[in-house]
Amino acid sequence: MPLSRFLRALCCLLLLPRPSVMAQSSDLSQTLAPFFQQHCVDCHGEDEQMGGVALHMVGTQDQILAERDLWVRVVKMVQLGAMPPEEIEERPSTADSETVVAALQDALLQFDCSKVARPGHPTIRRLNRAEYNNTVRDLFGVSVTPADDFPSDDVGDGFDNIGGVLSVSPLLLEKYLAAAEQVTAEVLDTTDYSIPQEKATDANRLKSTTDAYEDRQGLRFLKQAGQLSLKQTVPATGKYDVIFAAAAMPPRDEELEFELRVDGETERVFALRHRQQPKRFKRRIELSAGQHQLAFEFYGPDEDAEEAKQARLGIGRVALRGPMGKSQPDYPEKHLNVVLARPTKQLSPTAAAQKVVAPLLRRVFRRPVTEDEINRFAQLTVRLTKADGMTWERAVAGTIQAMLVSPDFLFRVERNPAPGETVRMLDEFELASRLSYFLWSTMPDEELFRVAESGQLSEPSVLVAQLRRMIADDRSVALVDNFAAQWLNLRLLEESRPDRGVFDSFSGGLRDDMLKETSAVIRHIMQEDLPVDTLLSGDFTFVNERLARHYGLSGVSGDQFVRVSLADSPRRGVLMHASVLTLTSYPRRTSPVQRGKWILENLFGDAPPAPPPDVPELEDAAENTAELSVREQMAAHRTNPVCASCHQVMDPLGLGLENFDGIGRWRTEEHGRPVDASGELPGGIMFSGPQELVEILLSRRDDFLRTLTEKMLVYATGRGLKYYDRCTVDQCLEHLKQNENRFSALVESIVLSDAFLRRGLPE
Amino acid sequence: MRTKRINRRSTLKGIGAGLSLPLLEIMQPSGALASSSAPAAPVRSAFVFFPNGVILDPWRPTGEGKDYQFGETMASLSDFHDDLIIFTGLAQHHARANGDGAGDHARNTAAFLTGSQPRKTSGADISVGQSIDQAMAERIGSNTRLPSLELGLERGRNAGSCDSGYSCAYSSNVSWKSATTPMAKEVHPRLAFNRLFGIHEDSGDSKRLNETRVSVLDFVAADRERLTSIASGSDRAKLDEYFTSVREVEQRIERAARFVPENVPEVELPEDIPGQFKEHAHLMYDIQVLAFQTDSTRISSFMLGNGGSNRTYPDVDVRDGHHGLSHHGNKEEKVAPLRRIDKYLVEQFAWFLGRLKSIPEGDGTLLDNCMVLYGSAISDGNRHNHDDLPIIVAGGGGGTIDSGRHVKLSEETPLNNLFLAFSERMGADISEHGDSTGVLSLG
Repeated sequence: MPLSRFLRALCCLLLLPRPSVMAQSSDLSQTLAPFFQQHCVDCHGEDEQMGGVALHMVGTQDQILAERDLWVRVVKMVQLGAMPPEEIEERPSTADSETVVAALQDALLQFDCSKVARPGHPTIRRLNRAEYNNTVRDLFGVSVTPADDFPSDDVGDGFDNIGGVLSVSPLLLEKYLAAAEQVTAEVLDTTDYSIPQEKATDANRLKSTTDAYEDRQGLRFLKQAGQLSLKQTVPATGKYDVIFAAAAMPPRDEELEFELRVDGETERVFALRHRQQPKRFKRRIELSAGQHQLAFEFYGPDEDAEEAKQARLGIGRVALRGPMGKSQPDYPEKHLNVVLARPTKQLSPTAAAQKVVAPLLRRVFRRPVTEDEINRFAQLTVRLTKADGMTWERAVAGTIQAMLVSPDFLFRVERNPAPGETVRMLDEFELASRLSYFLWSTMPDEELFRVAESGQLSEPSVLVAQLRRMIADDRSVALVDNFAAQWLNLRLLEESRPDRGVFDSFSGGLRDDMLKETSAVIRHIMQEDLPVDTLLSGDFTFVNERLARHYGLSGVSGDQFVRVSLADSPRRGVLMHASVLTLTSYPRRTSPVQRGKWILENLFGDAPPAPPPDVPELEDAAENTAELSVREQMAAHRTNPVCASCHQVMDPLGLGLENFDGIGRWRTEEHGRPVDASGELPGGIMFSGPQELVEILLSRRDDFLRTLTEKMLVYATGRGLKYYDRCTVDQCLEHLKQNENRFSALVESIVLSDAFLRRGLPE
Repeated sequence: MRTKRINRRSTLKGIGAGLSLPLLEIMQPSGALASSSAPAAPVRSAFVFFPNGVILDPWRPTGEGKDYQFGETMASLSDFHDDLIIFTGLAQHHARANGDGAGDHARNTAAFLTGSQPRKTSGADISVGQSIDQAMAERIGSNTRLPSLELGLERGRNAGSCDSGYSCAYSSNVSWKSATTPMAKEVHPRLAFNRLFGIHEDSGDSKRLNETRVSVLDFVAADRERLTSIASGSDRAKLDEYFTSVREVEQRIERAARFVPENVPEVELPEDIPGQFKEHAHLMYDIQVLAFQTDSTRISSFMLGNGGSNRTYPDVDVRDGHHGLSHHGNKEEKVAPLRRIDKYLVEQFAWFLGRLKSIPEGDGTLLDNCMVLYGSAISDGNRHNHDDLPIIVAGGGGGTIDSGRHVKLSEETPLNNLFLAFSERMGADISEHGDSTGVLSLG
């Protein structure tokens, strides 16, 4: 957990005044040592170090910063009253505990940014599922989304693009192989045309222009003038054999004639005597690549002769075999875009393979590639044709599969600082990938590659121009789908199971609408470059007819989402979107605690610690309370001081949203009793309902901006934040403030930060 | 959107119908391992994990030793009275906070089979320990086509934090290849089946496809030196993990060529993951039955839910989330649905045992040669305690287990001791696991 998030947890965001003890001198021993001597060192001292924790040497701020993790735990334990443990009878006074906590927090938070400036070290990231699908789409123009079958990406620090957490299990590697095969199967035609291919159409699939019947041998018979026809696509221009069976019932002693037509033109007239067994015909024809119609034309019985009315023509299975001899198929464009060369008399297999590999490898690896790298892959192509006897196309497919399971494709490899250095500026291509995966969840496009090749991308003005272009591009919807949907936990909506016995208007369609609404609002803020706190306070939204009905809004019809004003409605901001209200509810009722927790955690970066393991005892206290309202039950949370420290904030925040039921509908009554959505936060801050609650939250705008910035920085860099990132976040906030908190300023400030542009040593 | 798949409805009608081919008829090692004298059937291990603990009263049997009666939760196991050992008194110490604070659901899941304390982190430095199934697979997995099988019913969660500062990797995985690499589980029955039998739906010619795969893997493996030489720290660890998986898959393909399934059972499998719990669970149980029956693997793990799963169970009229209910505060309106969930999950387990028992093997049944552990590393979901765990072991372990007992152990007997008893019978030489103090006697 980012440190700042925790530290602000109980001191700032609980809306309490911030402790004012400043660590003026770097020597904190006077403040801290007596406390630790008295309460801690018996178990965590020189003689005994329970849990590996020793606290007898409290010294300077530098020392505390050097052992941050330890001291963060100490703060947490003392703050929660978890240490000293209950068994110890001598308790520190509340005032003493608070003083120590405040001093440690200051030591941990108040440090000189110029001394600790570090860009951090994201572990190299493998592509996650969304990135994989998008990247193969952009590489090859394929429509398959093979990553849908991959195992879920593990989530760390709230996002599924965190390098340190994303792992490669054997199962995933098998899926990479299968995915690469799926992609090449869509891009390349690997049919071996040196062997004639046969495509057959069974008689019952022939199209007839008049009544036709089928006999026991599976032939289709026409008894009056008409056609039996089929359409077939052939890959190459060349010679093909049409092979078919036919049977005839001509009048006695006559021959029955019929025509084979190709694309409406008579190819040949056949004559057939009466026979029980069908006769097999073969006719060689010339076809150009593409679709063709083959038809069998029956002239019909001769009207004059009575006997002739018994005439019938039967056609059996029709096969088209070819092309005969060497023919070059007309490959589709996506195939030709990849297979840029084949070996010829003038072009050696190695040279041809290099021509195929070079342009592709650069795009697959998202960087310039060396001669050696090209040759390695080209040799693989040649080896596959020779040793494994593959056709050229199959060898190219195998080569592309090797590219797609290469670590250089699957991982976004960034090089570490050179020996002796602690920080390295990303090169242009590493930067291009950071940018494109941040904003688009996919590989850089050609323009970005071009700018990177020119060496200009790291110029701030060029970088800003590029990111503005990219935000305007449709692909930036990835920021909504992947960043915002995770930040706001929207992906959890899929797991919500509102009970239709309680919420009869709920449906899968409504769930989709809820998501679309929130996505549309965020997209709107991005595209119109609105202040990001519009998300909290916006008095507009996007609804279709069904969602409008859900909200009690009139005047919207159809499935299309349209922008509507909420000026006359009590709803404000994302907090009152049905999506958020539903995903924070239980299947049958609202959960003020979850709603409060959602607000603290996602909007104010203040994840309350989970309840202590003995939480049921608390619930025991509230036993026999089935008749009490949710509000009254919540009061039980505050009977225990440990619980109260968090619940006194969480619960009122959630209760302030009680006018919205478990699927986000407005209500003024519950179980026949009026809903009370008023509340009081610590410090005597009162509100009467959801709108006033939003006003109070807006007064904490800075905390919201900080949280959003932190979350986006995590997502953009692919690593959890460290204490020194406070400096980066401060700079971003300054930039935001100077630019009316506009969305573009947020993205710019992150992209222009050292955390984004540079890379430190592994920690 | 998917590409066209050939052989989409792969074949068979066996599932649920008790398809029973004698083991050695189905699977013959084609290479040197084939032995002329009929070998004794191998012992198999399955580990079935359920989330959120149980309501203990109806779970507990009455009586002790051979003379025991099932509690209400286990009523559906009546046919298997003599095939089970029900344990009272096992503990998984490292599922406890031990100073790490809240997060019991993630911790119990991660500690269940690893016996190790997961490092509390939401991000980069996840670490717990190798799980017992993987420790066994490392030692004896090369005897079968797949060293082990990892299945589940719920995908890993992909948003938000999972449990109180623990990475979601902890609550989504019981099986860990190493301290830092969870074994991702398959939740899709059709994909699990295809993987088990090496079926490639998109390509008719598996042999040719595998040859290409080996060429491709050889090729990327040869690049290890270059990449790992420029990487360090956590980057290096990630690349090592990648190359380990490359090697693992190469070995798997190589084993697939040695152990050719002669008769791939024909099973009608749905295109998508079934929406109904029971159908999904039965399919995944059945895949384990087929895996054992065909000796495709001898080790499986199966998660009925992720740690802290909040699934609803409309089949037994439970419309509140499981995890939410499990903090029941002894309130009847929460305890009653939890009892229904516990019972329902045991019923599906009984179905699994029935399938294993319906398959003849040697002089007995497949179940006689299995050791199936069913349990959780949380005891009471309300108290979040990690001693007195609900643990059942079904099967005869190849005639080495004195089944049909309720065994009361002294408190705090490490669950890991039971794991050592498993690995001993599997022929995997493991002398300690987590806080084990010795091998638990099952004889």
